[in-house]
Amino acid sequence: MIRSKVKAAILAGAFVATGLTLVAGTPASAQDCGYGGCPPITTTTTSGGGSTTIPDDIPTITVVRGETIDVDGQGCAPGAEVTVTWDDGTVLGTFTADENGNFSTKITIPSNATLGVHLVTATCGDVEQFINVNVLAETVNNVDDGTLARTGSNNTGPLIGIGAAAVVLGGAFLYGARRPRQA
Amino acid sequence: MSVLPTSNPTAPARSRLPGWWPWALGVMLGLVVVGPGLSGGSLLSLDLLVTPDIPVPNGVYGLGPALSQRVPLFAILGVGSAAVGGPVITKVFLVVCLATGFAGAARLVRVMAPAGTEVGALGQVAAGVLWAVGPYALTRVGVGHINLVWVVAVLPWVLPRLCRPADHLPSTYLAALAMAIGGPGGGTLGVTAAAVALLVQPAPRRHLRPAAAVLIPQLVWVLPTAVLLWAGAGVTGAMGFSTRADGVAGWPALLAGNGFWRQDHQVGATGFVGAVAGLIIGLLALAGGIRIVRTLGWRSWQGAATAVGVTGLVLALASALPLVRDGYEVLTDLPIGAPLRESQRFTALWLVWAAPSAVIGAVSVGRWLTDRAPARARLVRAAVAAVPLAVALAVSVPGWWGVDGRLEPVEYPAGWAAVRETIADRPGTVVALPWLEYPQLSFADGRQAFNPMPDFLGGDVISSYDPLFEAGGDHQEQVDRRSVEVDRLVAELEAGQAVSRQLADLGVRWVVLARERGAEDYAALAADPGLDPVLTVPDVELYEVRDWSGRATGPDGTAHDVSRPIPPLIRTDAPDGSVLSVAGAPGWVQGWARPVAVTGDGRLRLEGTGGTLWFWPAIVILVTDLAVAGLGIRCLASRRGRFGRILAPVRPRG
Repeated sequence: MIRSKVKAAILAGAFVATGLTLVAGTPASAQDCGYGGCPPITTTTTSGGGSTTIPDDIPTITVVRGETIDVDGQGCAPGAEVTVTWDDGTVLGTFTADENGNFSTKITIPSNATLGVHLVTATCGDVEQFINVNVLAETVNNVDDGTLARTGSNNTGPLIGIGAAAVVLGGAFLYGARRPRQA
Repeated sequence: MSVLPTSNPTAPARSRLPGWWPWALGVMLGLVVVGPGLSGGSLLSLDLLVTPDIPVPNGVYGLGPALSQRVPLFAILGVGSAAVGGPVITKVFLVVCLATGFAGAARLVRVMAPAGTEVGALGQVAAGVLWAVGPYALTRVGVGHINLVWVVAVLPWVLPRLCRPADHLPSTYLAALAMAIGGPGGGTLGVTAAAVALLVQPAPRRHLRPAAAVLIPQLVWVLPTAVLLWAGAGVTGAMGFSTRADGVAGWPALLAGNGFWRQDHQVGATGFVGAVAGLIIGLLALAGGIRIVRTLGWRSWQGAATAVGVTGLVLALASALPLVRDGYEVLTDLPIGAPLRESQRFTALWLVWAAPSAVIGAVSVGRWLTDRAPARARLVRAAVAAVPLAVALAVSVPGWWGVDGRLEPVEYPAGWAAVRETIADRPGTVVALPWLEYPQLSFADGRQAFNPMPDFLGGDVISSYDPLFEAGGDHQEQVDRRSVEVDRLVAELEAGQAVSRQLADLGVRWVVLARERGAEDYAALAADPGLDPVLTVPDVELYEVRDWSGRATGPDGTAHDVSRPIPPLIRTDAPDGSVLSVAGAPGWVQGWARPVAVTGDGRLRLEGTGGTLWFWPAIVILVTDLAVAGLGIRCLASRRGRFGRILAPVRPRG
């Protein structure tokens, strides 16, 4: 039934790494939008005879080999064991969720990881949560693919608001600092 | 007896600005907010549903399909839409409401200020921005809660009157009526404000008449709502509408207008900036409130407004506080408590007081500081007085241009218009797919919106009213019980089964499938031998049910004609026992008094040869509406006779 799919997706929680919020994967193709929002579109991949549903819109972070990153997530059972694995099956760490089902820890990118995008999976019971990790070489120099780098801000809105506030306050200071005209 | 709520008896220094400047600035800000939408096209964003023709909602007759926040306001918009089109009337409405709200808040701060408190034009702008184009108003514009946009326009003008409901009953009646036009959203806010004011100003002998003056106008939305509840409309899961106050920053941000139940639709006042802004507004409003109550007392309208503001904040918090939340959910899960759902809307009562009060507080704080440190007094006063405007701008400006993209204009796909024309030529009941109340629409930049198909197509369209808050079972929030049958058919469709036979039995002639997210679930339509594909274009598919047996089906299976000149009136020549392809509901009467039966699948069945069928509650509702409006006209005349001007809710004394 469709509605049970939605329920499953909502309960699945999220996995966060270095400030990025990730979507959860569940063994269901949650497609329906309710008044509470739309669950992510998912695709199913099959390996080793098993079927795993992976969200299409997993965020990607960029790291270098051997780098340590902070990860945290939620939606596990309280005290559940959380296993974080590399996409070749290497276990990056095993942790315990807290009494609210949240977990937070550090993982280290394997020093022998191949360059490119890898899928990192956090598993606790039936809940799987994902993050894409784009592994770069240790140093990147003189990269030029012919396009201009994007130079800008992704939080322009708040800055505009703060700027407007600053203008008003600055104007008030100027006004207040004027010497009143003598009669 | 105090004739009217009093304002600052000390005449303020004459401003060099013309009196109409708040209106001019308000219109300008309204135009900026609607901004990208001015270029033409419709609007689609969550509950903001604008189609080329906005229909008068069936709710004004007490007919479904669902409980409507649109009644009675959308009856006015519907009439306007007939003249200039849905998009134009909606955009004009938004600009006018925001401008009126801005001017109202700019005026409110002036009349609310105690004697000797000079708020100045800067303070008026601050109050206007925070109230009319601040996070609360922008969020409600962005999600299309038109009834609350109406509240933004009206509340600052009527607040003084609602805070002294016993002073002049005709004025109180008009103020309450103005709020009631906003439907359940506006009406509950108006009633709450007046109820708090009556409690703050104890005079038990005089409570009954003011209470009647406030409650009688609410009939314009209470009666249709009661009829729909009686007919079987429902509400599911109030839990999803809790005020959101996530994290440490979430709580103080509520004071600045944050907390909308869907955080992805909250505009402004988010994160650290929102938290700091909320704290500053809260502290300044507290200072202003102390000044108001100390100077004017609780029994002044300003004092009552203070109580109203605090009550609004408490109600908004009610669904967010861990322990209180449970009780609030129990209350709002009940049909009688349903109008109190989504408690963040009560933030309006907080902000309409907090915006001017913060300005008054800033002036008071500036004076307090300079009294203790006279050096650079002018600088300190100017800087502190500018803080409310700076804070208001910090949380509002980012959302001004098109409300974070939510007012980007939308063009309906050409295929939709072709479907509408085809169905208009050969009318019949339509099932709209995907079977979602809030589909995600590719032609609206992927925004999620209330299913526009029924309004766009017009006529008898069965669509889902399941908000999908709960899994399993029947969660259709509509009177039209045919939808429960379609629930079942959709499950069969998704399983790959043919459903044309059952659709014909349900009296359905057309199936429209918008090719949007989730459309792939209905692949079985194309393979169903009982469905004729009439139109297949990239945007939409239209199928005709081959065995459709007419808009009225006789006991022998013969087709009969049905006409419906207005929603609560049906004419047919079908014989006794015929079933009409019309959503059934208790209250339909055949001839003078014979009740019309409702079939198990939710249609009307005649018990006697055709003729005229009518929905008797519609008569009661329309007569009540006329009576309420007539009383309003009488109050208007009484008010004008007494005060000489219509729009003069507050007059300086002395």
